[in-house]
Amino acid sequence: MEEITWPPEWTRATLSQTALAIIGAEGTTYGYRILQRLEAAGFGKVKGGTLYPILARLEAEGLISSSWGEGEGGPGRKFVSITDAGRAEIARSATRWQEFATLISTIWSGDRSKEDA
Amino acid sequence: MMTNHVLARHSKWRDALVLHLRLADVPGDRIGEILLEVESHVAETGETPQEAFGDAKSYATTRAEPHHDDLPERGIDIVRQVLLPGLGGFLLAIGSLRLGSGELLSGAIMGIIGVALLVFTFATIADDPVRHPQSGQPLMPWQTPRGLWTFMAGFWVIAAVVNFFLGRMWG
Repeated sequence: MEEITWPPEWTRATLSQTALAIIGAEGTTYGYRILQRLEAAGFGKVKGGTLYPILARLEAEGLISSSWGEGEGGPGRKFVSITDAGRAEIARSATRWQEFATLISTIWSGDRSKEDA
Repeated sequence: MMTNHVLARHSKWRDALVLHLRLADVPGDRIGEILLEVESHVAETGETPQEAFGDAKSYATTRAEPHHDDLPERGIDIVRQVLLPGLGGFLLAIGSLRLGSGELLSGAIMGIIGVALLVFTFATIADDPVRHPQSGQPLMPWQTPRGLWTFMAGFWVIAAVVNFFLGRMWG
């Protein structure tokens, strides 16, 4: 299968909210699983060095929480869980993103009918 | 369970990461978490730390606390952890040279002040070892600020002994 590549500035700008949405969908998950989900969903390959600092920031903002558990025959695994604030942020971002995507699509289509007179 | 075995195969990368996290004032407990994140990821994916996380120094920069460059705290740290013990070691070395060459009073005063500054630094510096986030065990017992200062103080003491005998030869 051909590898999907989106413009890096698009994936950079949306990775944080997308990772949060995956955590929200799974409830509790871990870094490698999030990377697998991103790739399987067509977002593209993301490196661990990009994801883990984002998870740390989401945790610092109170949108996710974390705990250490047992890995599968290896070192410990850090699990991350969505918080109530994280769920609220996903809902808020989804609405805002729809508005933004519609706006961008309109501009890119060349349709000027919605512009203020 | 304490491992660090996976990263032991990449000790150069791991040590560079720890060093640069230390330089960025990341606390030892936090460094332990970052190390185990890397180790866990590397164990699951089969990637090397370099492949998954890139250059250790750059990765440390992305994980540093955003306030680590704040002044004046940074300036106070430099004075307390670098300038004072540096002055202490210098005074100890010069004092030993003078003691060896028979200048007892000035040599003793310089030596005592030098030792006092080194002891003050050792006593006030936080030990803050890198700890395993699950077991709480120190991962790298000697790679702490105190361990580093003990190592450096050893150099100053050896320099003082050498200087004392040089002073005797020349005095």
